[in-house]
Amino acid sequence: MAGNLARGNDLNIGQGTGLKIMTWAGVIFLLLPLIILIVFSFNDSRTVTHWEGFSLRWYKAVFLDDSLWLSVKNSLVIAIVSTLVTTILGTMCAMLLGKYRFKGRELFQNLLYVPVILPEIIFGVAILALFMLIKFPLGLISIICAHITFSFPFATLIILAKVINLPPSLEEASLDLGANRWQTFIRVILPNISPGVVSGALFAFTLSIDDFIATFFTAGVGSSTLPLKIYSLIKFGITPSINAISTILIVFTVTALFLTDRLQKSERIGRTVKLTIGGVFLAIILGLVAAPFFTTRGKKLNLYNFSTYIDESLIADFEKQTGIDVSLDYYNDNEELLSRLQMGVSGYDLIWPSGYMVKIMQSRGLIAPIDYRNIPNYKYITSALRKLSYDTTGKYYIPYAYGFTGIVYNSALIRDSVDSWNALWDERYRENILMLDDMREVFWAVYKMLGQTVDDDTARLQKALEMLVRQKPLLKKYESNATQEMMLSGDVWIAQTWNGLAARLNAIDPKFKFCRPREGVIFFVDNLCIPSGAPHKANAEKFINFLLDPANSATNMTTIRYAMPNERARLLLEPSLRDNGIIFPDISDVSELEVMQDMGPFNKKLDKAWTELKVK
Amino acid sequence: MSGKIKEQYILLVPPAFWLLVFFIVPLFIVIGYSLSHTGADGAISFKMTFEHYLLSFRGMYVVIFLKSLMYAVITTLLTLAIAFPMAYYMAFASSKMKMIIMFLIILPFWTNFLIRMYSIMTLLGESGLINSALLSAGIIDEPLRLMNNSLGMYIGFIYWNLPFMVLPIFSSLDRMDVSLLEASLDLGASRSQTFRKITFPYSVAGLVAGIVFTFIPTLGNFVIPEFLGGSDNLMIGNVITAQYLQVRNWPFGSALSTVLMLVVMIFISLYIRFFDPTKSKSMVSF
Repeated sequence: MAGNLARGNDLNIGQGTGLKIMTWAGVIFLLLPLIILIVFSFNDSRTVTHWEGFSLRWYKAVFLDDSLWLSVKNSLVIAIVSTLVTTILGTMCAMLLGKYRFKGRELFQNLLYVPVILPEIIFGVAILALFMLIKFPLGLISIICAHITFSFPFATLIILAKVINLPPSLEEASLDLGANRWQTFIRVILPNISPGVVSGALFAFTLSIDDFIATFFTAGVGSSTLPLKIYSLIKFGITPSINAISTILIVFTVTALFLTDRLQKSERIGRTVKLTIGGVFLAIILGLVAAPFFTTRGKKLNLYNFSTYIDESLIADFEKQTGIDVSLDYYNDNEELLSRLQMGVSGYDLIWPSGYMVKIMQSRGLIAPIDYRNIPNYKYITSALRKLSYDTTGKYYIPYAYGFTGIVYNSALIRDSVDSWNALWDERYRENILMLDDMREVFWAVYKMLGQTVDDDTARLQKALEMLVRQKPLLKKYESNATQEMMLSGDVWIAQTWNGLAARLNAIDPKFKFCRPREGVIFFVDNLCIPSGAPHKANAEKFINFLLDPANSATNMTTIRYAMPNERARLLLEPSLRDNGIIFPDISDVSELEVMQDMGPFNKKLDKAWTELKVK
Repeated sequence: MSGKIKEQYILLVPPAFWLLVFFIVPLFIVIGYSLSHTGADGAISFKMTFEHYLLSFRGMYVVIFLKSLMYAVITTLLTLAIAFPMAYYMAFASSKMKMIIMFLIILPFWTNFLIRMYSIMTLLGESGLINSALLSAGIIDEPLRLMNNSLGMYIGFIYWNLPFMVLPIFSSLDRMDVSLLEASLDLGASRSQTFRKITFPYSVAGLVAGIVFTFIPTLGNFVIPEFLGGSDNLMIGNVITAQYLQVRNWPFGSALSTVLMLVVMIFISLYIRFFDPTKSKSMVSF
């Protein structure tokens, strides 16, 4: 092909200094974020923004984190299997489109383009709907099917570019000379289109390993991938361990590519050696894929929790004590948990829904009553939280932890003491204010500020909306995930946030203060619940009992920094934590304890108001 | 030739079957949802209704659609302006240089997208690296606002789309026969004439592919506005996502998705009608 000449150089076309600078500026733009994340993976600090000295601690943390490695393994298995199938389907499809004209060809080709460019959320929801309808269990296989579907059209387009450049005479010659079709394909066609096939496969692999949205919708018990894991970590404050694992992956990929390239080009290394290396790789892959089928032991327990909402060393202790094999998956919010269970993801034995979600799940028969005879440690639970409004029978839930939304502020930048929701409307903090990106939290704060209860009343909603429209120009943005980073970096002075997060910030630097606004706050209570049809209910109850043990509960609180309704456990905490007013709000006056409720049909009105707010 | 016919069907059936089961059927389920009724608590009952479509065409949502289109158009133009010189330079570079640049452009793909977005945030923040550098160099007195507004969003979109624009343009320019340029210059055409009459027409196929690959995913994206946008950078993808994950109104989300899907389909059909990559070849019919 003419394209491969070291051309143009004698003409000096396209080699001007301006072009050169623009090109390298573009390349640097693409690489800069990578360089930064590699540098900060060696940072001796929890934050990912300020350099505080060289350290390898995040690499150590990565190697010790089993769940992170499990997600890496899942990602690799999914990427490898889906790449294999994708490459085969893509090659077939490219051969078809490159060689034949048939009825409906244009339609077929149109359809092929749709997965390439359809917004992925639509595809994710659609394929999930299919799995729900045919009752296909969600897990590695459903994720693989989704990945193949969105990546094989890409692979087809890439391979097609090579196929259409293939002269038909080549194939004819081979056939004329007596080769059969299969021989012709293997000996003549494939070697000619192999660069396309290889780039198609590489592209499919890349898409799969990085995919978040479609995976998010199709994942089931124990099939969390690296991007899913990262997403749930980001939600609760990113740590440099994510940078560390990304750096490891970059180094690994670059090395693998480099070695492959070397092997391909090298003449000295014989065919047998190459085959052996290939064989070893294949064996490793097959081992990885097959391993999950052999490791299932008799006693199991599948947990499904928010990320960083349990001290994972407790799980290890429990495994040691009982011999039960525990697996832990994460969800990011209550809605995700609900949709998962409704979609028929079965297999979880213990979940952590918030109060309003307990009510919804109970009304839909998604959770089962708990047998308190198996949980003697229930006696430690504060009676005030045993029969809350969302389940007045108290049969379906055990309160796990509680907290509330208030205001965190940087007292080095804000000298006045903050004691009211009004502070979030203060002109002086213009463009340095953060509100949560959560319609319930935002509207509920306004209702509290106006001294109203939350109910299904359109006029009040309108009034609240007006208040928020007035506030909007003062905001930096609506944000739920990066609050910690933005406060630490000083980009934001004051933010609406949860008390546990404020306690964490306060522990990093005491200049971050927390306020429980005087107009009142809305509490959340997160609970332990057992889904209906949980396969290992007895083990779940054993685990609940283990968690409620005062010593374990104290360990757990020390890690997650949210209050647990276990008075005996609180006494075991070290004083700085035990008497921490941020973590342990005064809930002695139960009548004032307003717990976040689900609004049912009011949700739709709320969403419309929320969208309107964001559009204005 | 009976052997011939057999091969076509062997090639056709598996991919077509896969596409049918895992793509077309699911899309029809979504369309089905969009015509269903949303009950209390988001339960879906299959009573046919067009209410969700009527709602989709209400003022507010039309505004969001138009805004999303505008973001996508501007992003595409900016990305094109940055990508074309890069692709042009690459196409005429030595083959070793081509490989190096190509590798560097693809490298970021092996790091998770969300992590890269976080990295960009540490760059662009008010106390981020760019602002700190400019401040300490005395070029600015106050930190620039580079994110949490439309500018930040465009930076994110360009970052995300740049490789998808550069690579197709590069691959079509790379296919060009350099002797054409020699001939043109020898025969007295100026450099700019040569560019207009020869180089540019060669790049059109890649250019159009790059535009499609940039424009349409940008239209439906919801992650970048969330990360780098400000309080009013809402796109249609955010609204759709909220319907599925927060509001529990799947039918309305499905109706919005269907409308978006139709917009996308129109673009694709136009693209294929005018730029079918396989059109010019003579092929076997069956």
